Amino acid sequence: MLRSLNNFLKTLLDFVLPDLCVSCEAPVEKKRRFICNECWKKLIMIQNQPEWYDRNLIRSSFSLFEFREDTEIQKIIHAFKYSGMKSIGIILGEEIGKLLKEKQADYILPVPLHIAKLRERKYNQSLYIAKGIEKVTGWKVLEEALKRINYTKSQTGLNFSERQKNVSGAFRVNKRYSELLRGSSVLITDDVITTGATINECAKILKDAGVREIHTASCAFAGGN
Amino acid sequence: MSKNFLKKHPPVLVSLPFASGILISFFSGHVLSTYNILNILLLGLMFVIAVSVYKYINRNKCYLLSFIILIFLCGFLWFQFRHFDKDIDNVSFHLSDEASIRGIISEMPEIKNDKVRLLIKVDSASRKPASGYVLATVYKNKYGDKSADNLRFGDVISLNGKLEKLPGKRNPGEFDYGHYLRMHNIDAVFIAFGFDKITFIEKSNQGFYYGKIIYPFKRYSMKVIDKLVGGEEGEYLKGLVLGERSNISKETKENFINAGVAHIIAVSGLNVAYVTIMIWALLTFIPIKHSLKIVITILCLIFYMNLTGNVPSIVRATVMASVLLLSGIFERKPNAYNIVCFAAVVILIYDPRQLFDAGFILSFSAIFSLIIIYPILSELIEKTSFFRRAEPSSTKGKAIRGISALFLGTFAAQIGMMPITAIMFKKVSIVSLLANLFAIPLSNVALGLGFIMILLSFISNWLASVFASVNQLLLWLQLVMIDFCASLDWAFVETYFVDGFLFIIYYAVLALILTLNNKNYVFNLSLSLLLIINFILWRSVINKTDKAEITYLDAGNFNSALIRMPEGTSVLINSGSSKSAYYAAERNVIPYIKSSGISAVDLFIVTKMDKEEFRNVLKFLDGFKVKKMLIPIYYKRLVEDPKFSDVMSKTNISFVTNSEILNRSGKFRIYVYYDSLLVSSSMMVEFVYGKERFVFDDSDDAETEAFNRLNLPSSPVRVFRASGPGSFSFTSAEFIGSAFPEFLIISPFKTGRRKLNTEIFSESLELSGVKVLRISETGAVIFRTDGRVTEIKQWR
Ligand SMILES: [Zn+2]
Repeated sequence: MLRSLNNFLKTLLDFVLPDLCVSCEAPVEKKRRFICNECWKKLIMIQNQPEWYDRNLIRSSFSLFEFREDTEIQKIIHAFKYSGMKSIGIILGEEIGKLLKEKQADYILPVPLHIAKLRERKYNQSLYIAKGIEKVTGWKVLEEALKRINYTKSQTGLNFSERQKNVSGAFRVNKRYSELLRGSSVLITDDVITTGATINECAKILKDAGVREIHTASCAFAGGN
Repeated sequence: MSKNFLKKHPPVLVSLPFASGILISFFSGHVLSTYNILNILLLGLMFVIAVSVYKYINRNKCYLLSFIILIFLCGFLWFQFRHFDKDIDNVSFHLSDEASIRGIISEMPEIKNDKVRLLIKVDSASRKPASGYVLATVYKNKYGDKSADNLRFGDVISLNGKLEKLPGKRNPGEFDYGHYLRMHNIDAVFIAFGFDKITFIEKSNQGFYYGKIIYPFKRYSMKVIDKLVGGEEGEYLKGLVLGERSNISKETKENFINAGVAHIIAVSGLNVAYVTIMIWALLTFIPIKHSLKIVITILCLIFYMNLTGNVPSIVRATVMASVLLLSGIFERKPNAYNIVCFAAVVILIYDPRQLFDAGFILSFSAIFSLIIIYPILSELIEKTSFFRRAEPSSTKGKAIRGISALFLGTFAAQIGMMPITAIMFKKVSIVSLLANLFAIPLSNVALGLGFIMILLSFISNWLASVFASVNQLLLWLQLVMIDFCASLDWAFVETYFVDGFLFIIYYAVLALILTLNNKNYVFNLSLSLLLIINFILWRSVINKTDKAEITYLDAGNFNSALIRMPEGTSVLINSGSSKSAYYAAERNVIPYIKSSGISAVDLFIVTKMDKEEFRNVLKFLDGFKVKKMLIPIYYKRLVEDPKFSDVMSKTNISFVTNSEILNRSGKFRIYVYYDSLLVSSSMMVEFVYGKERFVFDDSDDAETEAFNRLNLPSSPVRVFRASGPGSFSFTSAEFIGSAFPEFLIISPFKTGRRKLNTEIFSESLELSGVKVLRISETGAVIFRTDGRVTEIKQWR
């Protein structure tokens, strides 16, 4: 009885809100939940990871796709960040996790949002990427280890040094986690890396807190163009 | 492609065949068996097969086609069942002049100063069990009366009065009120005079939600608005917040239509969007789960929908908003077409007759215009250099984008709905493009303030009154601005010329233009041009005829006839009469003349006037252009009274002193017969085209009639319009005998002693071979003649 009701509701849901590709609105094959096979094939996987980071701070960086404006990846990231489609983050996180497996980390730290921003957006997109990676690798997500204390303005349209200035002093390590983090290896996750200023800033304070090894991972890298 | 389309747009694939089924069902009339149960079984069967086929659609085309046919049949059957099937004890089979009905008030009573209007779900009529709905109007007794304020939704009452069938359409070009009622599930109308004809029996405990929550809240809100805002501003706010428009003055409503902002008082979908935003903003301060907030918002929207009377525009917007909110929970990308079509399916399943409701048509055509045309316009404007220069994040950029969104939205709706509004309102507003720029934001603020005021009034009357006084100013400002916009000379264009053919041409050309691109522009533009040329040619051919048309309008018990000659001359003989606030000129005559495509009457002949008819003539001259007017000399002093010089000076008036021929050239003749010795109060008119003769008699005394009889040539006339309601005391048998008409036109009274006189009159004439047409019962009659043969034109 309950199962047939459930079936009915699911049919109704598929009827009213058919599962459509976030990029081209074609129907989505059952396996992948938010994007059709055609669009998935169009995404550009990054083969040689760019070395944008400060080697003294960060050991390695991994980005899944190349970010290009007005292409599939932008639509995916937009749907993920602004349309409430959190599971995109988890699915992409899993993809990242599969490719990261050999690197070893103890904890995953998502880049935090300021509390005001969180209220506005309802959720922190980086957290869902972290959760996806955790699913595959088993490394533990520490959601509240990093805190954003300053409300920074949007990074859009700023260059690297402006961004650096913008985020400087924006983060701190949550005291409750400082013991745990000392001497550990961590992976910082973010949705898109543009100049890396944000992650660099996070890495800086983590290093100060005594973290031994820092890796980063993101769904897309936009610094290449 | 079609397989993919179904996967992508299942609601579109259901709503279109379903709506088509309903449409075909409506036009094919009652075709099914009279056994309700059989129809339900058939419908159930269709539905079950359709659902099971739905699963296999992906497999091949055959399934897809059969699915579409099945859904079409479901729509067809559903409408047949809901619209045509009536129970054998339906109240419409109990019509009587002295009826007694008993039933439950099933909607909030509409109480006005001079009358109450009640929707009654009948359980007995004249002491026999009955079913169905009756719209009852009970007029207040002039000599003091008990109050009707205590009537409530859910009360069981009995009524004594007249139970009538739904009114038929009286004249071409007029609003068909009877059809409107029928499409709103009303089976008959009921009229009574005096509130003492209403007897309260008991309170039923039916409808707890409406009776104890929705309507009390609505009544309370209306009281608060009346008390704190009041006046026309208060009535406007009631329309805005509650969708309660019944007390908004006719002038204000007309202003809103002329300014193209009528959607605001029709509680549009825009209101729902705004309400959603307000609830959402309030909920951000409450620390509860995201999904719970969505559920609360949806419940609030449903409450608002019930409060505003479940009109199609609000139901549509509520369904759409709910699906949009739910899409967030289920992480599905919402598709605009799917959501709109799903809303349509929900409404049409609930009541298939809504497909023909003006609100439904306007609401869905507006939303389709927005989702189809707006993106195209907005893409075009984004390309302009002016737009590129203004940063989207800067204040200037935001302001420009905000204003342009409002403007383009209005414009898109305008383009998409033009023929629909043209046919429905007989006018298209031009000023609306400007009026909406301020009316939409201001009315949204007023709506917000209105809500806050009502909620605050529960806590503190003082606080509520502060909001009310701010709002009053804001509402006043809107009314003044809308009045100003509506009064501009170029505010709107009258569109009586728009017909079904132009409607189709317009949308065909629009579709071609909207799909323009680099590849197809030559083809699309030339096809558009071809269609337009084709239309112009067709129009000029169809308007070319050698037939004169004589329309005897149904203007109650009074008479009015329009003659149109093939080359375009128009002659109006009388314009009906008036009765308190009812003017036949305004309600029947002008709409008909305009809908015939006439912008000025060449000749207006008034054969006789009493006080009420004179009032009506003034109304006519005020509302319509008349090139020349003819009137018996008897009325010279009245007409030249300085009191009326305003209206009369606009028209070229001639006084008739003698019998004469009005025109000596052209293919037709008009004669007037006037007794100059008697200086009679009435004259007779004769229209002659070829050998066909039409006589319009208006004599009400024996001398005048005798004069007319002696002067009228004694060969048979085709159509004879008898004076008065039709009785031997107005028109002698002798006179009719000498004119010996084939058709006799009368407008009998529907009730009373005079009805009996008319029956005797028409029965004895029919016995002697005259065809009597009672236009106050059957509606207008149109004759067409080429000068040799005359036939009756069917216009319904
Ligand atoms: Zn796709």
